[in-house]
Amino acid sequence: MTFIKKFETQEKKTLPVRYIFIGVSLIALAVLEIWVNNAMATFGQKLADTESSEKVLQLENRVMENDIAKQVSLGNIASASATLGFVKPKTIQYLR
Amino acid sequence: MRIKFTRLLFFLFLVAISLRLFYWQVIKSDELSAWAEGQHFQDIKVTAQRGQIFFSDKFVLASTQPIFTMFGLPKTIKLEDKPKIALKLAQILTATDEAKEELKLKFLQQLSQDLYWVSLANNIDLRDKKQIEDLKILGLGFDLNSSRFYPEGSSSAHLLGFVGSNANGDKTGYFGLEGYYDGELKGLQGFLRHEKDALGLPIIIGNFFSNRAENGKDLNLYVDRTVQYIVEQYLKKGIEKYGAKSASVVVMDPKTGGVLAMASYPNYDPKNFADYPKEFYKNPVVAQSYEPGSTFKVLTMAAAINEDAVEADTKCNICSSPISMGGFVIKTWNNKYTPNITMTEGIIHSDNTVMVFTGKKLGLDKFYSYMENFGFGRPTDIDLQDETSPDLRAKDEWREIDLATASFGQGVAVTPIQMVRAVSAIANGGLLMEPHIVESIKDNNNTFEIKPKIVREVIKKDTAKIITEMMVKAVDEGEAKFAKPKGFRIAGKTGTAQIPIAGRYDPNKTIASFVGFAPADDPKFVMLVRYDQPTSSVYGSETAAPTFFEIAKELFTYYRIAPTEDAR
Repeated sequence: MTFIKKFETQEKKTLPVRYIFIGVSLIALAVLEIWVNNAMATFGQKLADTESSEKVLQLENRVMENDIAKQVSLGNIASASATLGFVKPKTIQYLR
Repeated sequence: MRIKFTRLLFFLFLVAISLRLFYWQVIKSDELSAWAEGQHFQDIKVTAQRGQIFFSDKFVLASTQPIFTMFGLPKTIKLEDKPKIALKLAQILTATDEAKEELKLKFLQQLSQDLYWVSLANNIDLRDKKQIEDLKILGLGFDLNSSRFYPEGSSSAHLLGFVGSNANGDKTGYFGLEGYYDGELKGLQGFLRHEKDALGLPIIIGNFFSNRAENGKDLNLYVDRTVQYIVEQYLKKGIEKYGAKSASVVVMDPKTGGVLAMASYPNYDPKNFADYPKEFYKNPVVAQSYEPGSTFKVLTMAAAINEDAVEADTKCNICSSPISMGGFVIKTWNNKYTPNITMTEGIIHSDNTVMVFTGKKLGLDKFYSYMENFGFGRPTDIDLQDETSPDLRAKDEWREIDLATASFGQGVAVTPIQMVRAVSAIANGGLLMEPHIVESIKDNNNTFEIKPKIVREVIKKDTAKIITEMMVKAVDEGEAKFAKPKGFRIAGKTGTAQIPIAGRYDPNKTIASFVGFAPADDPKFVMLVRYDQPTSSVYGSETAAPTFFEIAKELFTYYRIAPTEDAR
């Protein structure tokens, strides 16, 4: 007896669309993460540079504030005014 | 057999590897984790900036200046480059050729050491640091520090105190405001911990821990920059003119207790405090006691009038000659006596016998009680670190002679701040105020005002008016009348107190003082001027009073106070 197996064409098994979508999304997210990490890797340098600049500017600001305070100190004004020829008034007139 | 042997060999390898793994992953785990953490994380201390101190007109009295310590890494610098580097650094950091050569040798010596790290120089300012960094020398680095900066130089040194290092090397304030408000001024150190990459740069998406530094709070003072300057100029002139050993002035607003100016000589430079003797650090206004002499008479009289023991025109019936008491003889300063002299005349002529009479009328119990009420015998609680107060001798130890001498300010010890605060109670209608240097404390978000504090009412308003008139007459008709500025009503009293030395009073050594307030009818300021052992004249009327009036004249102009019409 010969059995002839009935040849049935096997239907191609295809994945449901949603699985494909999920797979592609995951791959895309993974690629995106790698890209972001790569891009952020150099941000550390920029951050360090910005922080360093900020610190330097703050220090310069404080030095300038102190320079201004020294220039407007009364001791400095008194000696500068003497050099410029200012003198104290001998009498004060009060007007009513 | 061979298979068994091979199997055994593999098994032994497996055991050996397992044991090794156990060693590295379990036994050495903590050490390796710490090591890895050290490589992955960077810890940065964030220093807090010390708070600033401002005058009442918002000008800076004390600030911080960034300074740097320069270090070198000798092993990373080529031997042949070291002399060139030493020369370049010396050229930037010094001016004279001699100093340049000395510094160059010092740097060369430091860089030639067989060490990984050497300190090269301290206190380098930002400009010099930039110049050195522009040279792009490898093997040099800088650590940031800060130091106190005083734009007005050594002005207000005793008021400020100074910032030094404590036993742990931390910056700490000592004396004055820096000492009293050290906790508020120093702030809180912070720290920053972040993951770093192989180059030592921060990883943005890595772990990050931080505790923000809190900068110190700023202090806003009652002290007026212009008044402080005026006081210091005239005090410096006065101490030279009168040949005094030391001198102090304190100016206070009688309505608030706010100190407008405070100066003493000799003083010191708070930036270089270590170059001065330690005795100079204490503020004589709050820490040095003296016998007030005749300036105290106004307080005795105020107490007696307040208690209705005497009135302004009460006549003294024991004042026609020196008073003998307990083996002592009490005389007037000029040995002149006026029978039936009134209380007012007693203040004008600074008559000791009138005060003995007044003290007797008041009685020891009430006199002692008023001394306590005027604030003597305990600190004033002024916000300066170095305040002390001489004790009042226990009442039961007082004899009749003690009451007599205390009534004219001898045999009792006070500090200048106690004296000026007591007189300010007369100036403001009888209220004793708590003196303060700081008006408000400011941080990033808030300003905390320190409100004026009334300690107690010492005398009635009417009594204060009567004593004020007596003091005005003392200025107009007393020994200091020739120095008084015309057209202004100034209330004041001179004082010439002999100094006790080895149980006796030295007639040639005095504390010459003058205390007063102006304008008498609506006082803008109360002031005490004190000279210790003036040599040109021992009397307060010839030393402290003229200085008082000179400063007062300047203050009238500064505060735009016109002369009173009826005084023209």
